[in-house]
Amino acid sequence: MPDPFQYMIALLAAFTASFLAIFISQLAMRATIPSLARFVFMVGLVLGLLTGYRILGFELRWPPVNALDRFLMIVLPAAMIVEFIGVVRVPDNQHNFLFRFSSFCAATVRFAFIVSVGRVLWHDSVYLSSVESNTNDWSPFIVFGVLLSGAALLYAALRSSMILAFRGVSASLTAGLVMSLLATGMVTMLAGYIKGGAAAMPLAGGICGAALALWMAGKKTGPATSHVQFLIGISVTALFSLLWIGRFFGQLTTFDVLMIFLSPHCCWLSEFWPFRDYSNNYRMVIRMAAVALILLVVLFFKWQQFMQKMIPLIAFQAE
Amino acid sequence: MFRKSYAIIEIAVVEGIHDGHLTIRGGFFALMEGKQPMPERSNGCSECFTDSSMPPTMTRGKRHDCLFDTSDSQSPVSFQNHNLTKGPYAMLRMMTLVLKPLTLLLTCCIGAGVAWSADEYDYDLVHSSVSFKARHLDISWIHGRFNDVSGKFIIDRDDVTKSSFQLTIKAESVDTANPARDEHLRQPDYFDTKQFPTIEFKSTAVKAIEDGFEVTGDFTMHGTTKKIVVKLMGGKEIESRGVKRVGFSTELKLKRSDFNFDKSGIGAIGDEAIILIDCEGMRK
Repeated sequence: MPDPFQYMIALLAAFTASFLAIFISQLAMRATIPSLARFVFMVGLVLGLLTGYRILGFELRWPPVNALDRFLMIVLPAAMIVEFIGVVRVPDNQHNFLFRFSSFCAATVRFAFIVSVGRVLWHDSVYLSSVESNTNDWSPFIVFGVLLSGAALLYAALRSSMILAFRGVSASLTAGLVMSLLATGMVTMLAGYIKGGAAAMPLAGGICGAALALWMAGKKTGPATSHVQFLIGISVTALFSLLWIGRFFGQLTTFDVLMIFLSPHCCWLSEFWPFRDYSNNYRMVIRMAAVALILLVVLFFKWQQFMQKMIPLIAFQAE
Repeated sequence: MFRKSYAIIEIAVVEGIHDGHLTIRGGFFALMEGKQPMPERSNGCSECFTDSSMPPTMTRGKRHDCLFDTSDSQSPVSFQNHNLTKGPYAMLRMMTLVLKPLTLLLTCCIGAGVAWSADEYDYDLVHSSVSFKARHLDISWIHGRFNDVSGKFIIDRDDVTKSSFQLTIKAESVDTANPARDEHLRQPDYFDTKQFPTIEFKSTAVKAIEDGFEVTGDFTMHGTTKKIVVKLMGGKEIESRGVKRVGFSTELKLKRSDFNFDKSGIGAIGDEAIILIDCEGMRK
């Protein structure tokens, strides 16, 4: 049975651990090598996530046997490495060959990662095995199409997020991503996949803690762009993966998944007329309200379905 | 001196011996090639052969003109000026080349067929059931069944150790008489049917016991394989409307935690599940 109290503890523990680790390390390592600071930032986030998953009692076994294990043991670490490589640049001007080469390598690695996320999560599942054995209602064309659409969606979301971050909307965007992760967890649990939903809680807590530490440590100068970029990249990939798992292994509908995944991009709303002329604080409220509204609508409908379908089972158990 | 000889033989494929009767599944014709001592020439030609009881000598497509007189009325067959690259001889030669490896292969199959006297049965979905029950709150039982099951049993009455049992259950077909619960059971917290679509049992050793068989095998569920021992009670064969049937029953206890089911799903529903298998195998 789901234990909301345990999920809350896991979320808070992940938040606290990542906040403390990153805040202290950012203060201590501000003057040192930027790459090292980024690495320590990544370690701080990992520490927060590990704390949260430990409290939830997640046991990771190698080789991973299901999609959630593959997400936690392959996709998430790979996303961290890809984002780490993505922010590491040869410190020189943009006309330098090494700089351009390192940028090209980072873009290639990122592209390969984006293309392979869906495939990795589907590994050994009916979606792929049936194509091999030709015994499925999903033809190879559909499988390829879904994987390609997923990769395109992830790429578009990452690009959109990065552009928003460079436009100075990174704080709202990160908050929106954390809210989306929380909504993903709740919706997945309401749809009946308890462990899949619980997996989102430490992620939301850890990313929230890391973001808060980043902004607090860089209060005067502002947070390092590379750190923000790293955090947003991880958040978008994690959100995509959890929704992919919820859709193809759980009972989430395509509508739920698209609404939640695209909700953080409502932050674009404040960049257009008439909101772009408003004050920064007002614009931030508009962004958060737009994201929250979409998530609440999805949660409301899912709750209705839960009451209709699952409550009879739980009520029966309560008796 | 030897010559090649050809013979068409009929070969029967023996399926097995039942109640002292030989069961023949089918038969086929095979062209056999061999060597036999060369009989004496009747017309004096070293390449021609006129013995009426034997086919002519093959000379690998070589055309020759016979120098001997073969128009003798005593000779039943005349092979003067015969062309061995055309006509029935060439066809016979060609057939030999094609059929030689095929004949060898079929001969091996016959050997295997004769030696194998086991009966093979298909799982009869209509007259079988794979059901389960698990404790609810430790006070009662929840019952369910799997509706899509297939399998194959090979029972060798002469040598039971050569018997084998195989069962494949589609996890997606779980049915507890409550659609909402069934949907929940298909999710990754329970059966994870998209990741692990089947539950399988494959025997590795069989031995006869009183009123049945003791079968050791690999049971794969939720991506985890464990060796289990089941006692299959029954095994009596009857014939009904031209179909031979054999039936078995067994019951096995499994712990879900042994098969890596998520611990959060083990709460109100007990860890231990009892699987009840009552199945019929059939063969024509």
